[in-house]
Amino acid sequence: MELFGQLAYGFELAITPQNLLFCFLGALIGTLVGVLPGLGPVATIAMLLPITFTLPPVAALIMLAGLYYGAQYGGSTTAILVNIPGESSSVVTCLDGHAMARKGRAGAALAIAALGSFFAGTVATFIIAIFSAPMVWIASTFQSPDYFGLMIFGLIAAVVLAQGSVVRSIVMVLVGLVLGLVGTDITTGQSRFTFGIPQLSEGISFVALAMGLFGVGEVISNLARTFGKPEVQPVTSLWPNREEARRATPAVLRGTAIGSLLGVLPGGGALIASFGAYVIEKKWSKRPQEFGNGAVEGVAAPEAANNAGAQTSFIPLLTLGLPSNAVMALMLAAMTIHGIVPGPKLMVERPDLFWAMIASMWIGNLMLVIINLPLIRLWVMLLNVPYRYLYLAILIFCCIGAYSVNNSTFDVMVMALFGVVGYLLPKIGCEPAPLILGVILAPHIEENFRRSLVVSRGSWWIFLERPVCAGFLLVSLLFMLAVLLPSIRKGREEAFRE
Amino acid sequence: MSSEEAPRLSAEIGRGWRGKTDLWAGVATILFAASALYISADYGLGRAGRIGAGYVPLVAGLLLLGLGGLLLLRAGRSREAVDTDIAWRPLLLVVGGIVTFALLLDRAGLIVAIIATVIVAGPAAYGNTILSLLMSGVILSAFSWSLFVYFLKISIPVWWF
Repeated sequence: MELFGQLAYGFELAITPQNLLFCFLGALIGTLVGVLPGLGPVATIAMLLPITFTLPPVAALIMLAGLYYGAQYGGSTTAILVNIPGESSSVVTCLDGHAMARKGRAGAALAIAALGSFFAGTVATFIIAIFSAPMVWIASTFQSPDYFGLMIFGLIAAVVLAQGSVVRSIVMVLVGLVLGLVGTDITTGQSRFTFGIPQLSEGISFVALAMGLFGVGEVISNLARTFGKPEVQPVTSLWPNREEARRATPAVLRGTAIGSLLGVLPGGGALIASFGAYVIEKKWSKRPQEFGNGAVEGVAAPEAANNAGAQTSFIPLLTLGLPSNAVMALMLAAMTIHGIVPGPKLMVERPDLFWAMIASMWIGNLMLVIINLPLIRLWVMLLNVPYRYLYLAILIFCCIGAYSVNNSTFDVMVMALFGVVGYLLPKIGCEPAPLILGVILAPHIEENFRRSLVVSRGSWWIFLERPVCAGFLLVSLLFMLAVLLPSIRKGREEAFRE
Repeated sequence: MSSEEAPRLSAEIGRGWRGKTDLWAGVATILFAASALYISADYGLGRAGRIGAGYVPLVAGLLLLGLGGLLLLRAGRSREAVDTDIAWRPLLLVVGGIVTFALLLDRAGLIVAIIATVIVAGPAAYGNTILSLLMSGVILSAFSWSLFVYFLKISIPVWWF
């Protein structure tokens, strides 16, 4: 039972008064920002990143994980009570969660979401603990061509599984790749795309870019909409009745399974997990007509799934160093700022960090239940603060956040520029999420590509000779063909329309 | 967000090829690709065993050029209409506010920068008055100072001296 020994070790490290405090603060602040409509987890984490700068790495990571789950869960509260999805993965929670709230079952919906998420989080914590060691073992046999193949596969899968047009998503990835190359090329020492600006020689600040695209862009489009005073449904009893509990339990189990699986996939994570779980619940239900009108399963399964998915998406990041979605890309950037390089070596070289973080994921989930249910009235109050005050605070926090990564006002300008880009991209039907993945993976892809060709003395066959790499490239190719075939494309579009 | 905008987008279907997202995305892609190719033209491609700094930009640029062309070709039978509704007031004021922050921070310090940013970006939302903005600015700068400077000890200039 080595696993339990390692988990116990992690808990020993994580349960210090200081770490518990930061975990609590992270979950609390994350929920606070997550409850506010119109700021997703990416913007929330980017905005609050500077808070963790002065902390020791373990505490910082624990706080970031808390922030992430908090932001995730806070979105569900808003979805249930006001019918505004705080972020994209709680879009489906709006459907049945808000319908339940309208029927006077808001408390039950919130409790099912919280307890379902907690259960899913607990299972996902164990899944990470169990599968990390074999993943690390596999990853340690990887060489440059294999990493190259893996990253290409990751990007392609992310594009295929993401929402919207495949061609435009690939364009976004490639634009991201080019933006990711800005700065001094490590191998040749040549400056690329820097326009002679010294601040660009170390590349575009990832945090400023993410905050511009997701935070500032979102603020502008929120301001463009006229907000009425949100109609918040009252919360009465917090306990689900017997019938609701009976229906929720199997749905939570199914949601956890689906979410854990979809979370590991590149491009997966919370969003696709919640959508997938909802579609499956509806298809398999004996009462599909109830969906959209307050079906308990329609809250329980997606909420469990998005939490499970949010958590298992850490597996590729922690074991392979490969971020599978925009939030993980930001986590990677945050880890780099703290001098931690995720990947197969992390578990071997910094077992303290690795296991403490896994333990803290569970603690973070527990904190969420503790924070959310008793404090629900506080969140309701927060929902009544007018947006015309909120967005000013968001902007100021973004500005300070962008500045403090490199102590550079140039980065604040970069954020402003990408704010404009982030506002305009959806207008022409482009999603910024694949772009972020391209930016963060660009240097790694180029480096592994380069090294592979050095090893093979310039022969391209190396990518096909290594079975792992060839396998990844083959699957990527099949994925591409699959989405370009009209029949499957239709099926995919239907799945997202649900 | 996209689910809310869906009905408005579908209402605009049939406006002719000029209003198609694919057209605008295609044009933007080609412009981006062309400038990337132009800028990276003299970066050097290297040899097969030692690829140069220009290799990956070239590949990415060419792929982008092709995909941009594909988007343009597709625009004729595409059904997705572009959202031409640009909220200039929030766009300009929010961006203006951020630029104000960037320009003032090193020269005048955090407190002044925050108050100025709030005053510039504030009129982006209806209902904000100069008095409410001044109040917001003072409260936000006091809060930011206590959180970031006093509590978290992040190095950031507070005043101009």
